Amino acid sequence: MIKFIAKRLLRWLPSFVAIILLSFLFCLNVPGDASLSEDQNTGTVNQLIVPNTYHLPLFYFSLKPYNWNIFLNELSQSHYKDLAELLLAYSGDIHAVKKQIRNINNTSIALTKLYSEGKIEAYTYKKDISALSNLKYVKSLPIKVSGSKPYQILLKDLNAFEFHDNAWKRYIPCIYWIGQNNIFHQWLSSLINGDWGQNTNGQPVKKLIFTAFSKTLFLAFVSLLLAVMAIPISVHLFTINSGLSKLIIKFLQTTISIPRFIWALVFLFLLANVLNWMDPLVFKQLDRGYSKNYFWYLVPAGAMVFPFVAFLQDQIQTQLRVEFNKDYVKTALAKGMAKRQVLYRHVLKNSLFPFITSITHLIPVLLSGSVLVERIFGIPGLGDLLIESLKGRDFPVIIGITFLLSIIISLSYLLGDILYQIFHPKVKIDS
Amino acid sequence: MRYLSVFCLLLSFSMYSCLSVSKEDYGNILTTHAISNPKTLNPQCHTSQLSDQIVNLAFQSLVHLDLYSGKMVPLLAESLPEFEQTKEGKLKYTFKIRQQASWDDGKPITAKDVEFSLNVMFNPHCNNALRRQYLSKIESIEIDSTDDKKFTLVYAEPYIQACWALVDLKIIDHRIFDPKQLMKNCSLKKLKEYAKDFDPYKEDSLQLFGKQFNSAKYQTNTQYLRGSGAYVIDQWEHNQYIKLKRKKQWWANNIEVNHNHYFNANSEIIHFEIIKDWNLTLSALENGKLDVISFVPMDQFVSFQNDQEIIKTYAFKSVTNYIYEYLAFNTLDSYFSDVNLRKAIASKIDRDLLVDKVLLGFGSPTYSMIHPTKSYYNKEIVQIDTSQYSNIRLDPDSIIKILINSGNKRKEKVANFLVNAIKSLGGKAKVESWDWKVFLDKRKKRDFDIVINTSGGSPVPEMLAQSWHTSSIESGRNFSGFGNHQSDALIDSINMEMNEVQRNRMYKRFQWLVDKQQPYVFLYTLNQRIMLKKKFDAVKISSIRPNYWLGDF
Repeated sequence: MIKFIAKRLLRWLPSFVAIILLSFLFCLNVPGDASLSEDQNTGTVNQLIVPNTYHLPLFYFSLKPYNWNIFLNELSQSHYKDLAELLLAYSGDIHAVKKQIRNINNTSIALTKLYSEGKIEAYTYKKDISALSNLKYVKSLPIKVSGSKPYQILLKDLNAFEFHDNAWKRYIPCIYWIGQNNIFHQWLSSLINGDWGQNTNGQPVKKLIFTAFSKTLFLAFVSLLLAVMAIPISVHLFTINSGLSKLIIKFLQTTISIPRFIWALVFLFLLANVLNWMDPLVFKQLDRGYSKNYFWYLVPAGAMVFPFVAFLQDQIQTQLRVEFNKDYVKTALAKGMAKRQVLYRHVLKNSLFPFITSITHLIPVLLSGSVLVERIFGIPGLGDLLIESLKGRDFPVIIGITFLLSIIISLSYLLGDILYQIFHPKVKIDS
Repeated sequence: MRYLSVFCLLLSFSMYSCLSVSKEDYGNILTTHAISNPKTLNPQCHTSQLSDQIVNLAFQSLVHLDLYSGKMVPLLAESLPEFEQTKEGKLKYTFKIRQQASWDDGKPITAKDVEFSLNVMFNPHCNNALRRQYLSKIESIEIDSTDDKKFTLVYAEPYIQACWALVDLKIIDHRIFDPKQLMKNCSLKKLKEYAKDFDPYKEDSLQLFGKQFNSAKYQTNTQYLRGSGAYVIDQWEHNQYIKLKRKKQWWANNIEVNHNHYFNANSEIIHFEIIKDWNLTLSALENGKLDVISFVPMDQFVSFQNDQEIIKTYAFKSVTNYIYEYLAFNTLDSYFSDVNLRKAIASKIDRDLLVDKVLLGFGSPTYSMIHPTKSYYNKEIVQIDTSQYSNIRLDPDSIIKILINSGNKRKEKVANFLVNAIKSLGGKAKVESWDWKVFLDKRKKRDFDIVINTSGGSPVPEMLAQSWHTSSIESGRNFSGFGNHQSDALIDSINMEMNEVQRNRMYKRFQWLVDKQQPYVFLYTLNQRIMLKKKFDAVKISSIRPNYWLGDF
């Protein structure tokens, strides 16, 4: 068994690394970052993931155009970065590009000075300032304006830049080795040392995630308990096989197609507004100790598993029907055993195998799929944290949650396989 | 089967016991609604309206803006400051802190505390740039040698918001915020010099203080967010609630202050329930769980007003707000550098229709960045005559990009009106609805032809530079790229004009200048929608955000 677990873990490792890498890449390339706000600039996304690494490249190697240069990384914080990249494409000479960027910067300063001294018109100033850092005008640089002598000298310098048609080099990919000095490496080393970093508010990500996770885990646990209820319900419905049971089965089947958040809304409306049984803010009261009745978790848990109970019931019923047609059941019945006796002693055990996989597959669904349900009931779980982090581009938290969920998902599948082997030794999963 | 029956029995028993809990009365607690978790409650770094509301209950400034009269009132200061303009053109405000004003341990609040708060504000390593910009004209602080509660603030030049900006300067205790005394030898002069050659990576005591000040400890830890206000931030469960508790031994408990609501602290506990989902908020309202709530969606507000059950519990208030919405044209890199095209579009905007259909009547049309209730609102600016621009046709081959942030139904409706207006001029338009952060990014990069925006104001004289000066084109809020020497000079003059009559004349002229260029089409001002329990019906509601003082409840 240990060998089997070790093998599974090893097999899982590459996909885990791929998940982390993809989420990392996604975070660093998604438009808009946490520093953007209505009023102030507080930092940049790279700084937020690993503090003070803003100048570093993202990964151990970079796939860049043939004429790329590491100098462009130094400009990562500058609004001239894109312009420099384009200039390099046209010139191919990194020294010329560096000089040109310096010239553009100086021209921009000189232009502002001229404008503040009233020597140039506002419209010209605005157009020129915009053009200096705008890709659209890169080939028409510089803009000819009347100005003082120093400004004319700067324009002359700008004009000296030679545009060669090296643009084709931009389309030839080339791998550049960066080494350990990259953002990903530093992030991973901190993570291995137990430091998950800080969120945009400076709070420790690990604490944030695990506080939220404890609530989601509790909700998932209650949901799982409710899901187990599918067994007695299915067996009971199978044994009675009356008109009422058929009606219940039909009803359950229709619930499969209704999403969880609809159930959450229905339950909330029904219990809090129609029946007035539930305090809509009960989960907040629980949190601050005004209420101790954790039984209310049954409501969101119900919304989480209701469609799943119907699915499980269907699976178990089908399995029971298959088992009942087998020879050993016919023999037992022929020997005079009661149907109920055969069901509980022999058939049930054999019918539960699909249930094992289904229930272990439910664990990741419950943990990662609770987003909207948590939101509707105001439970500050992992789903709620994830939504807030996505909205605020709180990438350290997003990566942390992805990291945690990928571990849990992989472990729950592994658990399913282990349980399957324990309960059904004849099945060789590895094969 | 037996197990199932036992389970059902247990479930029913628990449900029953839950019922008794939900009906429990929690005492003298005021419960209010918060739509999101504040990023920080640091008195110098906070940015949202919610955090401002909480910070004002826990911290105090020298003076504050009276919500009901819109005038300045003294808070920590004994009276409004004496004002003096020197021969060198400098401005001086002399304050005296109230004799009784003290920190929670009884230590008096002195001019030294004001100096420390100012020093922190001017430390460039601290994430308080938003507030710093309004106080940047303060040159020095002169502490009276005979009275440690008396001091003079010296401003480099006259500045219209000189005193108003002090509302944002919350006085903080150096023993809490700087226990290692890293800022001990600082002065405003030194800090201003330091800021000129600012290197964020230079390791010194100021950087160390900045790091500490910006850390979670001083941004979110309630143990360290203590001020001289009537309330302490007792608990902050992130994304759940914030609990404020009234201090038993507050310095202002026994002082007599007339007509200053900032000294009212009626509720023992104030709970800010952070409820992000509107369905849950609705449910909480229907159950009477919230005592007061603002920003009720317009359609919901109307529907609640007709709900017999709700009107038994809640009173409804709608007041004009200093918030306005507008269309901003990209006048630099787009099609709309032609003023006639901008005016043609403006002529097609029916503001009354927008107020009626989009705001359901909760607003009023406006034609300027100045609120229509202000005396210097230029009433001569009116709807552009459509007939003047009837010959203008838009290029049918270009598609005009209208930028809005997603999830804002109001802006979506306005965008649809705008699309129709453009169509009527023979043009084509496409609405680009983006997530908030992407929207901000695109707006900053001016990646739009028209952006639909919202801005806020207050009764305080407007600082126009941030949104209208050409220096704000690249890094400020001048999204449209408006401005020329004339407008810049006028903005600079307004900022320095201390004579109200003169200033108001200049404000009117500026509105006329903007109207002539039409970089923006101002649409309407919005009304705030507030629901509060009937027992609080006597509480005054103001047009100034946050529209009420929670201590009054």
